[in-house]
Amino acid sequence: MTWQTLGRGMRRLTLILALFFPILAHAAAFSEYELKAAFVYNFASFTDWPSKAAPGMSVCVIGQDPFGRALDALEGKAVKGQSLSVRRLSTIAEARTCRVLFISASEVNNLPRLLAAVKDLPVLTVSDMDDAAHQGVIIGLAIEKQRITFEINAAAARNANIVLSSRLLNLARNVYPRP
Amino acid sequence: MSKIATERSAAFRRSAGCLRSAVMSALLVISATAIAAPLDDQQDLTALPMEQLLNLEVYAASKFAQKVSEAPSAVSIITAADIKAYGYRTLADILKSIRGMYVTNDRNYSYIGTRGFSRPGDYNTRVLMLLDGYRLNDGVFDGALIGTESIIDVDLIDRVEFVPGPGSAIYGGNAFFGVLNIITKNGKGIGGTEISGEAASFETRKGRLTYGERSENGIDILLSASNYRSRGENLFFPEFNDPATNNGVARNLDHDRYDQLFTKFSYGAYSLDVAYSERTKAIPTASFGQVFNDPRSHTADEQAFLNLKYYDKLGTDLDVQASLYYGHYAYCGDYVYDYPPVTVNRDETRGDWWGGELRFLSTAFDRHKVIYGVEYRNDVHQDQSNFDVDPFVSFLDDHRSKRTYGVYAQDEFSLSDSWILNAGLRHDHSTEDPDATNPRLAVIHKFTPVTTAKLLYGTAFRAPNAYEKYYVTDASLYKANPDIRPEKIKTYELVLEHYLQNDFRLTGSIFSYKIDDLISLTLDPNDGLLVNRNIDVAKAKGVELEAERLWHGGTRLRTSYTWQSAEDGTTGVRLSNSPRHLAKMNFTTPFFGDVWRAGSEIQYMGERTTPRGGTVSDFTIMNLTLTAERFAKNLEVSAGVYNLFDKKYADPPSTEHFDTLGRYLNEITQDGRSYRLKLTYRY
Repeated sequence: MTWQTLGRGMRRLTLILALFFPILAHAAAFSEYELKAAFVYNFASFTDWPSKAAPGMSVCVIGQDPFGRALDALEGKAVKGQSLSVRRLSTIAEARTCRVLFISASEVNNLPRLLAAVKDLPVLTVSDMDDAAHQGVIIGLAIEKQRITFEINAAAARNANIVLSSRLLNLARNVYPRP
Repeated sequence: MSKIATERSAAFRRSAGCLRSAVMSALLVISATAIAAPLDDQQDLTALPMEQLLNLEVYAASKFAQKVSEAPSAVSIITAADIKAYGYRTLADILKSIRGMYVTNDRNYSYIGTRGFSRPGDYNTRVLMLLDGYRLNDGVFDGALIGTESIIDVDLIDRVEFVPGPGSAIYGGNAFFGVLNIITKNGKGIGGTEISGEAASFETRKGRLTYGERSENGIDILLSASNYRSRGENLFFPEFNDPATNNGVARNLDHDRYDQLFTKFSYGAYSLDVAYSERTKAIPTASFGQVFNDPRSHTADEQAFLNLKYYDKLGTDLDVQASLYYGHYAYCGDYVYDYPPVTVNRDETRGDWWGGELRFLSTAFDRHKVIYGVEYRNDVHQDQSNFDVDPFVSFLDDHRSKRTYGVYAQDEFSLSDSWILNAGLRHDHSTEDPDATNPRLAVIHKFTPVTTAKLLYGTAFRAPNAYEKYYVTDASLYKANPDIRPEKIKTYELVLEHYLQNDFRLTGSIFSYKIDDLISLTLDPNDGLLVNRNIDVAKAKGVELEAERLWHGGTRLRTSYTWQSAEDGTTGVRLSNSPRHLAKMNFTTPFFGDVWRAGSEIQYMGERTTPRGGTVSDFTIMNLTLTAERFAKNLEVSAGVYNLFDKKYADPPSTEHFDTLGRYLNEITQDGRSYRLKLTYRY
């Protein structure tokens, strides 16, 4: 194939594509953390905490906050009749007062230590670092083929005394440990 | 230049023209699309049911890659997104963009330079290269191949981590200047079938077919095959410009081809990686005293491995990782000498090895993360031969074998939330070389959650390989040196990492390296023979600075500057092929409404000296790649221009770059402007 024919082919291809461009225009996409914030909101809505859980509905972030304003947009929304509040933690000891703890991917090297610190607390841990659920986080978020997916570590949820709705378990791409 | 070269440059102009017009019309269409696209954000996503959220497409946010390396070091990470955005074609392209690294190409192989060291006769022995944990450095040359000769197609790479500094405290031999971890994509990451085809300058074409999927029951499969053919240029060497030697033009002696196969299976705790590659390259430089412009002069490299891994958790605080592998490397080189008469002399090398590793990670003790393990390797064959093909005369037929054992432990001790102590020790024993024990110590302090300082001390060693010890041939004037000793390095480094915001990172490092018994290919002035020797002491010191910034919407900027000084510790003379200054900039941004992405890199390399006392000038080159990941449904398009401003630049030759008439090369000219167009179809 010479360069000229390749060039002609390319031009023809572009013309064909031009005819189909409304299809391209249709695929509007959302920003990753706006969408992940919506997932965090849903996770909170489909979780039952034991009575000894922290009062209020605090969603906390530890490590470098990737959400920016996307998470603050959840502030004040009603979850199970309680008003959601967003907090950024500076030490893991503060996690005691949280219902949901989002562990930032920046904490990948600290994960075992952070999980150990909240091991027996009724805190729903969520993270989007690689293989989070496999490593003991209750819900791990990931992106696959430009769509958000999540995995659940059921054993970790049980240890934390937290009940996740069957709807969440059904929608999860994976539930650990495998039966 | 010859008539062919002129025709060829005319072909370039044509190709440039057609590429530009095709890409431009595409850009026009896409920009119209972007403007026409309705803006429908400001939607309250929390009002949508989960099922719908799971179906929305996202723009992945730019983020710093997560560090998974256990090494306390200033790690550099290049991701699949970078490989795509900057149009990287080989591992060498990737390494050139890493802070403090440089690559030399002698038109036969590519050589890594790091911390100011790139020694003659070093086939990348001083960087340990791991592919999904498997040690790629072969058993004869200790080499890790990075150019078109590499075993892995860069399109299959998920990320490359470079951990500068000695890694012998965990990895033993070869982890001298650093460890390069190559992590490949898994089947899930491919999620279907990919067909990729590319056409590039110098009549280069490449194809790749990849299938990857993770099934419902958790079996992950990746199968991939690549094929590359390049006719190359007719290269002109002014040093050989004589009517008797084709006026210095090496005709059709830059051709290059490779085939690669890569497969990965994993199920539960088990995974199996199998890889194979074969590459043939013509030698245009008449290296090792050959006859210039002889079409028979070439090298062929074949690599294969099989690596079975097991990874599991034994209880809540103990992870176990085991691996069992077999590796193979074969090299064959035809060199044409004029004794007289003109004779083809052949090098044949074969390495076969197997080994295993058992590693544990324990978090049983509060605040301690302990890694410990054992390693065994058996180099069953380390065979080297050299002979004239016709009439058959054997110069070398050497058969060796070697067994090595290693045991190591490392503890990461969190003294408090802000202080971490990392200490490691490894002992290596081999049937061939003296025992080696190497420590590493790091103190890491977090001043604030965003500022970290690391003080690092470490030593490393590298035993001489079979080639350095036993390779001898009258034909290319090599002599053996079985008395060569392992080389040793002692290093100090201070690293500062600071995050200005979540999206702005600064890294600074100061290092001081001292090497004893550095092994180098030298020319013995008494008999004019090439020999590998321990030169007494070499020293290097330097400063590295890097800034990385991410913007909302996927724009990324990474820029670095390195000042380094590497010299012979006895004479104080600067080492050859050691640039004082290196500067790099990588910038990528989406445009025309996220449909297209531009990736541009600028690299500056300071002046370098050659082993014979000459110099090659400093240079700046720029590469530009435009990518449309979703040019159309399932179709990705990438168009790249390398050396955009057609800068004429060169790499220093090594000790072996002279022809049969004793004419040495002063420099090895690199490619001018070149183009690549790549289409990838996924379904």
